[in-house]
Amino acid sequence: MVLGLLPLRFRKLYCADMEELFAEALDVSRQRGRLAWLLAWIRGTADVIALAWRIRWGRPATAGQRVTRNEKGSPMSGFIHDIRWSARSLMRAPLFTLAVVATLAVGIGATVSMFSVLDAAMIRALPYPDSERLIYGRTTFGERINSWVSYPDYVDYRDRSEAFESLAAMLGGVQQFTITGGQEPERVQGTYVSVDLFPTLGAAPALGRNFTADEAESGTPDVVMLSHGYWQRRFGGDTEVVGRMHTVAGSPHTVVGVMPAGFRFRWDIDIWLPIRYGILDTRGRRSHSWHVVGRLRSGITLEEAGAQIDVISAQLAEAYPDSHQDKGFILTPLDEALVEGYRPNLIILMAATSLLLLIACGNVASLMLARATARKVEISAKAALGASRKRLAVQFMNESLLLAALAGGLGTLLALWLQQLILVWMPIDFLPASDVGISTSMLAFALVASFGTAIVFGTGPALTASQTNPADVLRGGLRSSAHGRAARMRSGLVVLQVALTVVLLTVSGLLLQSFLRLRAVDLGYETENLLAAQLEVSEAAYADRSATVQFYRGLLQDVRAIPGVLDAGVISHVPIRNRYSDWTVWNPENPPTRDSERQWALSRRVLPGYFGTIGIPILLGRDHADTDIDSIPSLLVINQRLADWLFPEQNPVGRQIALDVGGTEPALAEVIGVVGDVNINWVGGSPAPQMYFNNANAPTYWSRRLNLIVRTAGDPTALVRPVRAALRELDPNVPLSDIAVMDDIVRGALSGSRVIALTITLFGSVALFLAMTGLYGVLAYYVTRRTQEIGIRVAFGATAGHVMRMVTLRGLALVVGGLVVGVLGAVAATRLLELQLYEIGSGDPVTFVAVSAFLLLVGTLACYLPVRRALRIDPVEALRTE
Amino acid sequence: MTDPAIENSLPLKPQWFHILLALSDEAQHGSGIVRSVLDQTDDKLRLWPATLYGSLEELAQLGWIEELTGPAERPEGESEKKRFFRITQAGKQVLSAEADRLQALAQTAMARLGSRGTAT
Repeated sequence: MVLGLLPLRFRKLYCADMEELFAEALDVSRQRGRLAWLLAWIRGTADVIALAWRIRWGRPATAGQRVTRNEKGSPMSGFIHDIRWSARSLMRAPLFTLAVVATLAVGIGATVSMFSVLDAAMIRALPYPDSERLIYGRTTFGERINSWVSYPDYVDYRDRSEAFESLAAMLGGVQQFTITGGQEPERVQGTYVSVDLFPTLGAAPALGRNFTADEAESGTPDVVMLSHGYWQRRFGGDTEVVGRMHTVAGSPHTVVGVMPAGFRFRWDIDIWLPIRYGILDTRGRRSHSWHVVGRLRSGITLEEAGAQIDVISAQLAEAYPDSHQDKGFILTPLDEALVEGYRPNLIILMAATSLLLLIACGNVASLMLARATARKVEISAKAALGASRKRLAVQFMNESLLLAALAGGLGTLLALWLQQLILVWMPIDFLPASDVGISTSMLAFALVASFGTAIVFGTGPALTASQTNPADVLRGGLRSSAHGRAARMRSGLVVLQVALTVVLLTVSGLLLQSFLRLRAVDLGYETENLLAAQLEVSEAAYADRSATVQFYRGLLQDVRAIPGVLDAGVISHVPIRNRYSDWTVWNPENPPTRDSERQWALSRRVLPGYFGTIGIPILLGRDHADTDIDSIPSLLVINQRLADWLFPEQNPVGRQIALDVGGTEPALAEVIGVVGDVNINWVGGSPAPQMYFNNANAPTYWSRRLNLIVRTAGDPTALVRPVRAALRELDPNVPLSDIAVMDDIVRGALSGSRVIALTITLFGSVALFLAMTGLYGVLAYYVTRRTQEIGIRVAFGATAGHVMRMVTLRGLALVVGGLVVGVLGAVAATRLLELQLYEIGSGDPVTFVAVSAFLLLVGTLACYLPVRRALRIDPVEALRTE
Repeated sequence: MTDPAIENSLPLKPQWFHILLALSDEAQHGSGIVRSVLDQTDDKLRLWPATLYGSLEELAQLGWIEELTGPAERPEGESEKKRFFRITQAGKQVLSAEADRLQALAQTAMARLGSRGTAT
């Protein structure tokens, strides 16, 4: 393979022997172990490369006699000769080479790494076979797209259209199911799916089988499909689980299968149940609660399917005018639909990266233009001496190619490194588990980008240069029109670069502000000095509710006694970290008639003292009390928002509420207090309706797993040891896990915004640097061109101030030009961003003004060196030189 | 006594010396030379394929070795495809000149070290 480097004649003679010898050498070293073998391989290959080098470029063998070399025959040697020549020519201008390679490498590195991350996230998001044929169906009301479809509509589309191999449905939203029997009761996440959902996706169960068609019929035995995670958790990975009975929501279901590890569709689900006609209240055409996923028949395009669907929509509109006002059905590719949530962030990043690449290319173009014009004399001389245009072009092409190759190589290495950085920073929950690696498309993109830039900007000017009349150029020198044209182009490029930088910096400024505001949001409770940890007591040791409650009460007492602890409480869900978990609630005296009137509320289980620990004020009534244990009905504390909704204008204390806990009858609970609204699900946004039960008397079930919340006087981490000790004293068999400081939890929840803001700022800084170096280059060149003129002015009495003004104004003119264009661009960009910005209007002028001022300042600084150079012009010298 | 042309060629590159030495007794082909050199240097010098054949090429161009052409000259039992090399008259001269030079050098070194009283 490497032997190809050697000249043809040499190869023909010795190739076979060399390979044989090589193999022998490898065999011998293999006996000494794998490392020796590898080293031998490297050595042998290096040996060949060294010889090839020597033959082509080295000195002839010193032996007192001249040895004739006569292998000029091969075409390879000609090419290599050109490359050598180009390399030497580039090395004579080291600054230029370094600048171009570095700039391009940075631009390419950033773009390639971002592209590969996005590629993994967006393009390869669906791990199902033939995922391009998967579509997502949604209802449209006029212009508006609703994510959900009504069940009867779904059935009609499924039965009447021919475009799909299968069309499946899944209940929108996650349901809570109570699992009983076996170890301990548990609330799990589940949902209903049509029996053909998994085959539609192309996912097969790892154990057991999929649902069968008759399992959709009522009257057949109840069945359930488990997720891998749930199977591990609940059944300990028992492979005999298929066929066993599992009590879901009070009735026994047979386990038909377990989905593979890593299978996830939309949400983290523990169990899937099949939709059964008649049993599930699928409601009417007005109730849109279902997600629809389908697989197109092979050969049918999305447009063709869409056309069929429209026909069916028209039929439905005719048949059911009440419920189908303006209603349609739209199909989108599934991968697009799934990433819609993350799309804005990713697109922002991609746009920023492209801007950066553009700026980098701008710099490179400028540098190459400068070089081309500087070499005009050389080019024209060569042309005058008879070099063909083709030959010249080839030579410059070689230079550009060499630069492009270097930059591409460096850029790819940089991309690898940047990729790791990005993955560390980015919230990777939207990336599939597989690592991101370098994809071939990414490499191809990098190569295209680097070669494209280098060739376009390197050869173009060179070719035009060779076109002009050589005599003209040789005479005109720096004042020639071609130089002027180049200077104008470079100035134009700088203006563009400044504009792009303005866009980047403005966007980053806004994102930073948005992030800072988010960070400063008051959650409603004090998050400082708060420690959280999870505990779980075993069923074996704590068989009943009172034992569990006793344990936690004792723990709270002991922990409160630790010096440094201000207060302690327990809760089933740590705010921000453990989200969701809600039940539908309503006022039993005023039950809702329609589904849209049902309210859901986040449900939590606490023990007395929690509100004091976390700092949620009790507005009405009282906190839970230890004496409430085993109270019937269950008692609960609700938050203001829920109170306002359930009992507007009334005192909720003492009133009863009804809850849908999954059984046939709703549970009833009595309100004993009202607390203030706080954010426990998300940072930002308005607080959700919440209700807090006493673990000692909660409806349906109680938890053995609770989280300890400790308010400390000082650094929370310092109290982990004493808390552990207290726990160990009470019961050494109970582990303490998931220990975290509340501030960290909140910070973690903001990481997405933070990352985006920081990344864009980084890009903005790089862009700024590139733009400023571009500006410097143009101004330096300007000074050089105007040397004579400046000399004349100084000779005629121009002061230093004059000269300074001359150069600086020129520079600032470019900056201002860039600012104008840039601000317009930034306004457009931020309008697109409004979704992502928290409480910042895109018209926020402060950021724009700040960025403009900053750029003007930096632009002035960039003028400094050229100004200095201009001031040092000796008028006599200047008048003499060209 | 020594040919000035040969004088100018000294000192020889080490691998050239070893190759010539390996071929001094009999004609060998590639792997044979490698083995001989390993023997000569107590397994310290392994000639890799590129270095070997590069040197063989150079030595052939200098006229110090030549390739066996006719089947009659090959050692018995070896296949036709293997390329054998043997040292030429000129090569032998260079080889012995170099050996002399090395010997003289070694003697000088020993004399100097001995007179200083080597460590005992």
